[in-house]
Amino acid sequence: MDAQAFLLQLLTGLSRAAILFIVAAGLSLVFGALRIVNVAHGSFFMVGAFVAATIMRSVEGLAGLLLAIVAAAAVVAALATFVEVAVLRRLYASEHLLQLLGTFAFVLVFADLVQFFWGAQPRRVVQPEPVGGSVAFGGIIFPKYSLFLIGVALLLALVLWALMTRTSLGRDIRAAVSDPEMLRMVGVDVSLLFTVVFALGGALAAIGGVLVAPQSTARLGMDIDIIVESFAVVIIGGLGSLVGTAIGALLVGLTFTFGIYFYPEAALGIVFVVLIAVLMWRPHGLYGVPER
Amino acid sequence: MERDRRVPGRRGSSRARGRTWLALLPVLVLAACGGGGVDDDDGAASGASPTTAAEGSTQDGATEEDPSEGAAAEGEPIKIGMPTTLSGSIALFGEANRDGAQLAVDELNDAGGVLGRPVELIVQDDQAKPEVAAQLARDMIIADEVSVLLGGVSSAAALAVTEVSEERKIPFIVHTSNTEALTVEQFQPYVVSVVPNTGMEARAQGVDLADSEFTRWATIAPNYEFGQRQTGTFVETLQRENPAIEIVEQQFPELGESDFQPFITSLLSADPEAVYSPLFAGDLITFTQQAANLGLFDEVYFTALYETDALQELGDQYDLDGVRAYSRCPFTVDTEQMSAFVETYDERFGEIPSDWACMAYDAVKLWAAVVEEAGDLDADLFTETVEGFEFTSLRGETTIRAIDHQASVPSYIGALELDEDLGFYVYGDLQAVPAEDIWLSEEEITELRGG
Repeated sequence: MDAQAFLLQLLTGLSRAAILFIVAAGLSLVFGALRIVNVAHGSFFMVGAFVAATIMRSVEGLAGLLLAIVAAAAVVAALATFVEVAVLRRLYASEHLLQLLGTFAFVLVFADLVQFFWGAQPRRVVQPEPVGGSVAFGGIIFPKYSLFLIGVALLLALVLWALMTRTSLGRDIRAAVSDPEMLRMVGVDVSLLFTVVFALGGALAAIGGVLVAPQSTARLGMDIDIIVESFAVVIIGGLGSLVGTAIGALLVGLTFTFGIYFYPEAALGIVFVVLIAVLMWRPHGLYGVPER
Repeated sequence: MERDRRVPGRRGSSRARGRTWLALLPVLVLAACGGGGVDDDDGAASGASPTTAAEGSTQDGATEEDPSEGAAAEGEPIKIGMPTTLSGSIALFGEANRDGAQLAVDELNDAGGVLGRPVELIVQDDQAKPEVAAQLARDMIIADEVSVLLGGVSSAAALAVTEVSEERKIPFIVHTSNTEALTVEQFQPYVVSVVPNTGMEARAQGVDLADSEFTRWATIAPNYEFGQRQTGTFVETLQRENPAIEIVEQQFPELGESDFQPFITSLLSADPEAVYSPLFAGDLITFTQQAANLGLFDEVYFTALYETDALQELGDQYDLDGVRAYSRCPFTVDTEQMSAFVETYDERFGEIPSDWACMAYDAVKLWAAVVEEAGDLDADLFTETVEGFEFTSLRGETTIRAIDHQASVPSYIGALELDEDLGFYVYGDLQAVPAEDIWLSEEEITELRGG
């Protein structure tokens, strides 16, 4: 493996990890606080991508991308709020299977709704001018957009870290992860907190969808595709841990891209071997805590 | 041919529709609470009601047209069952299947039906799952009493449906799914194929490209039956035609991959001169953008299944000039039938028909012609009649070969060039590689079937 090949795989791995982190962070956040595995998280991601496709066709450039991020986050946060209030709230006391089926029902509903509103044609989203095209350095040609994604993921990680450690909302969320009953007793409206966390998680998925759209397409089926790898990320990192999610995303992204280079037949398999190895070593993931 | 049709932005009202999201929230509640998704494992399958566009539009078509052309069809309708994929990542193909077949059915009805009876098309969503497709096929045969089954998109689903066709003795015409197994190893007397199969397609490419100056090849294909089979045959043909050719890298991303970059960079690092790919639809669109930004098209000669849908969506942003594209039923084929079809289809659906609409249309028309010739709906009579049957398809004159019921349709190859009027790339210098040059010989088929 020469230096150029290494650099190419490394950078593609990091940009893959960037998207995984953004999507998986929301999944992990929701699980940590609500203890619900939200299979419909991928659906929020897909809705975000289609919102981006619609907005970025009419508003060009970075303004379009920013507008799409805001709009997709808002639309999906509203949808997520509805899902949480109308259905999930009734399932917190139920067994895991029922919760899983409950969120899975939304996977089907959202897939049909997206097809109803946007049709079955995959939507290409033009990369906004300043981050479109490619740049040559170190003997390689690399897409500017992928570098941009890596930057955005770092920024989001910072914002999330600040949110969790420097705000009262973050403090409440962390408290909810360890003991929601205690939180309720000190007078926090836990029910409202759960709604907010679920909406926030959905918004993160939507932002991931917006960011992915210009690199791939907005298309049916992307909901299911993202959810498998995202689960691998949060399980490796430990459900509920932000740092764990970041490490999980890097591990999955890089293992996959270097796996593709060295063992193309088995790349996805290698990711799951890593997953199994981590679980054997730490059954709750790298930074996970045992279920309460 | 005429080319001034409106293409881009045909679903332009999506923004307005987006606003209806909120208005539709109550529907969501009902769907979520009512369906429950708990007790009904195939909720989606049984929920997809016998679609669809079928009945409504049949009537539109029939009443609007001038009925003087043929005697009005009377009696119980003859039903055609089509399990195809209407949801998920390849729904676009299934929708084109449905629209193309419906157009053919409406034309048949306007011309007096088949055997004097009206024809009705039933389309249901197989979710690209073999077990769902087989179940739908059974239900269509038993409950709806369909007289013929049309195929869908997925090869795996077609392999499941062909078993039902054999067991129930109902003709089955495949038009989009094209694994060669359908007409070779898994052949059964009631199957007919109007699509160039994976073998023909890959051999056409192999024959076309073996003479090129390139000796270092790489491949990238979706990781399932179709992709593996097509790549295998391509490589085999290429190396048989030119033993000097070396395969330096092979990648098999999952179907629906959204990030092909690590695959593309791996290909580039292997330093090939040319890359072959049977990626298609959304995957191909994604791949093309990412490959363009990684400089793949500057460094290597590239060839892939750029069908009309993908080309329209890609538009003119990336430089695809000279990329070698192959197609199964391109709208630019120069026949009277194709020109008329493209015009009618555009009028009705507001878009250029894709390969998938074109071939489904051919499937219906072939079935009708065979049944009219046979004078009866009997399946064994159908099989007897179809062998050696000569038929004018959208792609010109074609014959159904007796040994494998494969239509002698060509495989099309061209070099992409930008059509300024349409605003997207089309096939320049379109060549039709004749079926006779690329299908398996009768001896080879007999041997593969185990003598």
